[in-house]
Amino acid sequence: MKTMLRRSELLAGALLLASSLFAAGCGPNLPAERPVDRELAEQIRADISEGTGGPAVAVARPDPTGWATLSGSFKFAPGDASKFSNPPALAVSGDDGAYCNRGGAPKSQSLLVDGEGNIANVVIFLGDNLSKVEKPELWIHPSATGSTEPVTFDQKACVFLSPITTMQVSQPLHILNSDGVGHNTKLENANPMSEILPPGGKITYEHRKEERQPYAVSCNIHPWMKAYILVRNNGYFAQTDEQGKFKIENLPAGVDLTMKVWHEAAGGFLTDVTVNGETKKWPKKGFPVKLTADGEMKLDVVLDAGPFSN
Amino acid sequence: MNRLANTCRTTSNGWPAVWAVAVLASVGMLVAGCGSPDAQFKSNRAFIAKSLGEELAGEGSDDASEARAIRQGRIEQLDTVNAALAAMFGQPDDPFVVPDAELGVTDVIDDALLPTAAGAVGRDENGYARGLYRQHCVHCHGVTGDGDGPTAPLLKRYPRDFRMGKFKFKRTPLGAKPTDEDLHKVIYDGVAGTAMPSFKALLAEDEIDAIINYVKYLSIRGEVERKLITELTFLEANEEVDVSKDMLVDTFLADVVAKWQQAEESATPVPAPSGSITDQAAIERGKVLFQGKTANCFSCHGVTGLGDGQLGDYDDWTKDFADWGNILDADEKAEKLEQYIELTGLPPRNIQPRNLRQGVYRGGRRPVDLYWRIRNGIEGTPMPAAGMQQSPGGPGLTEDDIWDLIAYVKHLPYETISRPPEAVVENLRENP
Ligand code: HEC
Ligand code: HEC
Repeated sequence: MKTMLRRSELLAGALLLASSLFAAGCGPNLPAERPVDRELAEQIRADISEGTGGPAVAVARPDPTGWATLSGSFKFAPGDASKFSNPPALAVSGDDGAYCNRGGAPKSQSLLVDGEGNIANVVIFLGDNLSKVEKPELWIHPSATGSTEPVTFDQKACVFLSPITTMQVSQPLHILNSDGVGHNTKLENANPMSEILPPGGKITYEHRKEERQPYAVSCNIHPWMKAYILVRNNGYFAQTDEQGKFKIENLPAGVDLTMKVWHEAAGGFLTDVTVNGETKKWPKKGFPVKLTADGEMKLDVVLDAGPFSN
Repeated sequence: MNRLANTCRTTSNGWPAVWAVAVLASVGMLVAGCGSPDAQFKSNRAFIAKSLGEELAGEGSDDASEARAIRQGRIEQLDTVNAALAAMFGQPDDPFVVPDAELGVTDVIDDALLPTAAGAVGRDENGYARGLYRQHCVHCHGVTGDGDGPTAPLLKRYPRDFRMGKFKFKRTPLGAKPTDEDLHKVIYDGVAGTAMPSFKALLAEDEIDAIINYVKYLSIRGEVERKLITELTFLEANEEVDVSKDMLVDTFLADVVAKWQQAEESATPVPAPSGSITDQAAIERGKVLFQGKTANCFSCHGVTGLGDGQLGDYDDWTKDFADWGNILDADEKAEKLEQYIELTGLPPRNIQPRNLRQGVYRGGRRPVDLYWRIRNGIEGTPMPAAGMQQSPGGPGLTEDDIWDLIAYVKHLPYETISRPPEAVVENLRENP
């Protein structure tokens, strides 16, 4: 361990020296630091000091016309499917190594693809902020709000049992440790936690607010352990199953919605896609859909493998 | 300024300690020069690279001209971000606080105190000190409070980067800000076993207050900057950045300021121990807990408390750019490493659980300090909060267990297998 550390420091030192020869303190890809646009700064200061702007005027949105379903699947193109069929072993370290490596080193769960290229654990959710709509009862179906059903998040053999969990803010999170060793569960969200969890232990955790994207869960005793949780105010989310399939029911129909698609192994939101045979670039904000009341829209999505690594 | 600082530090990096000190002295001289007349805050380049790096590298599209347009769009958006930050916070020599009493901004940052800490070193017409931050803190913590001053790469533990808004040694739990008293302690006593010196002999009380105020100012600025950059990742490169008061002040600034306002009330109360913590029985109970699976201290600190249990992790400041220990692809790791070092000059280093046999406590040696460390964990580091019983008799620790652990930790340096206390050489990097 010690020698490794030294070696990496040496390497780092060498890199540093090399880089200084051509870099003026800027990364290879970033433009150099630019001077502040003083005129713009002054204008912004005047605006924020005088209290102009005020609260953004709520854009009047038409009322939804009913409820509808969004379903579909995510996969890789046939040629790409095999690239990820063999998840690498994780970098196990520390005194629990022997315990955690029993039965083979734990494997990365960040990208699970079946033989046909179907991708599990793609997260798809409604990106719109529904907290300010005028008639919430028309936007949020009773089945998609206020759930108090506990969500279980467990760990065993030094891996988290669910790489991605999707839940509502109103649901309690039951964090369990079904392992023979202690863990600490670290939640990196707006109400962060990092707490030791003995074997057989349980923590009941409450979220305070929704997050704009899945947040990371980790364990410092076993730093290779990683999972993500998406927590939203409403139930308009889904994650793909092992066949890459998802379904979200009772979405508001007849109105413009923005859906977001996320995958851990792509490092975030997905934009380069082929939907029902048509190649597209989804906006960063999410892609628009408008559903027909009582209808079901199907999206069969082939993802560009470029951004993925496992 | 950037170039100068970088060149200085590069030359000295990896040199034997003696040389380092000599070079340090010369760096100090240079910096006094660079820091002066029109000092500018540096932008958070590592965070920008992480958030928008691909597009800024001209890889935002397969089509070359589109990729260039995307790059240009991002550069312009970042200019707007910089202007917005200058509007909200000014520059090092000319700091500004949005005069919004309603949101409590002026409650958290006292702009009357800013000149004492901000700007160039000197004295005002009444002989009061000015520019104390630049005089005492900049060479480690950097003009921007990014922990990237010219001395930083020479240190084994890097100086704190205030911009993430995370602090280690505080009475409040994870996610909460330190209280003024917590920051006061760090500055007054220093952080034992690291390069962070004690300023008790150098600064008067009102001067420390002014510096605390300035640390908060830098930290709030840094957090708002991160929020602005994050916002860009939800925009297309050709979209306009929202710099309305609603967004900048009522959303971003208010969010960060509120947390500082809540610091005091989120302090973790300390119940009195039910017995003496020097009691042999308490020490024995603490030892069993320390080495057992309920408290789990041994899994990082090692069964003997030497700090050799889990050595493969990194702190949150280092992991902010990449999860270094878990990049499984060697080429990807090398590339990231090179990028990161070019951006920050600070090679990522593993964080080590404390060797508890040295009896050196960074957050303070009083039992109450250790109570907060163990009960709440140490933010930004792997050290987690204790797992407390959720129902009486259930799995987990009780308040008395925490005191027993403190009893044992305090006793560890004197335990028989203990080595003689090692000289504390944390400050300078090991020679390769
Ligand atoms: C010689 C270098 C050096 C100087 C000078 C220095 N610091 Fe530090 N400072 C450090 C290091 C190193 C740490 C990190 C300690 C750690 O992580 O345990 C630190 C940490 C801190 C922290 C964070 C404490 C926490 O709880 O997380 C604060 C606040 C701080 N310094 C303020 C200051 C101020 C204010 C000054 C000037 C009055 C100053 N420092 C001068 C090196 C320095
Ligand atoms: C997941 C790893 C981990 C676990 C589990 C852990 N620690 Fe730590 N501990 C650390 C690290 C890392 C540090 C150094 C943090 C820093 O940078 O200051 C530390 C620091 C400390 C310190 C030094 C505080 C100071 O002011 O210098 C004490 C005391 C301590 N731990 C006690 C404990 C006790 C008691 C337990 C069990 C209840 C425990 N630790 C469990 C990782 C851990």
